[in-house]
Amino acid sequence: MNGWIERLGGAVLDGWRELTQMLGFAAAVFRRLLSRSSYRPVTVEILTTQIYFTAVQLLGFFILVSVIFGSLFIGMTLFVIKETGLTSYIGNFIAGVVVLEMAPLATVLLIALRSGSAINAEMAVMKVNRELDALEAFGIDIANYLFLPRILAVMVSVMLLSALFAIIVTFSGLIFSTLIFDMGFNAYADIIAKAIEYKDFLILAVKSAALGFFITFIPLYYGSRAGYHLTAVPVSVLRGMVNVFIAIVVIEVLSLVARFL
Amino acid sequence: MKLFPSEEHLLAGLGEMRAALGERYAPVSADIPLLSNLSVFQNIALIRQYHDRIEADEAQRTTTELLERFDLCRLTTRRPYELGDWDLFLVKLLRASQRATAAVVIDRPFSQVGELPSITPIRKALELLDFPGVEAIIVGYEWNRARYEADGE
Repeated sequence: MNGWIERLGGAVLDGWRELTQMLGFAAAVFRRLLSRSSYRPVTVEILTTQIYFTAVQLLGFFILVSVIFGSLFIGMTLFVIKETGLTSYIGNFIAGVVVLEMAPLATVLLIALRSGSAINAEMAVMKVNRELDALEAFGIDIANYLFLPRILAVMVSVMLLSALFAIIVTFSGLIFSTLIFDMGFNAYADIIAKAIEYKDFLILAVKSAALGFFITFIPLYYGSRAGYHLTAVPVSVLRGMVNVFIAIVVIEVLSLVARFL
Repeated sequence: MKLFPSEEHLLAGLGEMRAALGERYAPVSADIPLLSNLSVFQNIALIRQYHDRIEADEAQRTTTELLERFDLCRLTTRRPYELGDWDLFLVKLLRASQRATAAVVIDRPFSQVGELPSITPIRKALELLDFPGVEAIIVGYEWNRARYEADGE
């Protein structure tokens, strides 16, 4: 019995130590993100390339998913709203559920699956190949050179793509409102304008930025801490992506708490 | 040139050199690879772009000059995995030379370029570098002294 409790306690303590270490490093990276001296012309080049890989290359597929998934979701929901007689809540639904919750969540899931896993694998392979050691040998700080441009690029990409998703789905809402409720553009615009507050834009921006930060930082962190053997690569990606999922859930919960405070 | 009797002594010697040289330490070693997701040009330019914060135009000019001097312009856009041992060695040497007042430490050159008959081609490459303040130290094994002292291509 004692042995079991000891093992459990040990595992909890290890988990806690790892969490505090990771959050401490995240705080240090975030401070550097805000410091002008961390940036160099070469960092800006990487930032531009990373935005291209993360947002621009994904754009066509992202718009397709937003139109199909968003329209399907909003069409079905407006239909249910009509059936249950909750028509007066259309604006709150679109602003609260679609703009603030669904847009960043759908965006971040797509980017985490595509870019987060790629970044994690890239970093782990660099570690295995001793390329991170090579950077260190030449006095190049991996947080400034590898972490910052990638994190910033994904933060910007998540914010922009979330806004795009919200715009596409709100526009789909207009089409379905016309079809289901026979509602004109002016009436729809009026409902949306009344339901959305400036605070909502702020929450959307902060939430998207926080999600963007953690879905990049965590893969970078786990990738750079991988071992020196090839077998360390899948383990690192697995740990990184599971922790990305946990981070997304935690940020979602915190943003919901923030909205209702 | 510094020759050591065994791997253990050599690794210890390299550690001491790294500690003593500090920021000047610029290794050319099989254990310090080029970055695989960067081209030859980007690998060389990165050092000054990071440390001296030079803009892309200046990096383009200085790195192209260097590659021309070594007749390596054909490699500019190639990735490290596309290079042979000798070209890989030269690119690592050029990267190392980009640190300000670098002390280029060439670690066991014959293990990096197995087909080298003697040290002469490396000495010629070092003469071509000829940057002010840049010095080179070749590190190897005592039992290989004959190859380090032999002449010829």
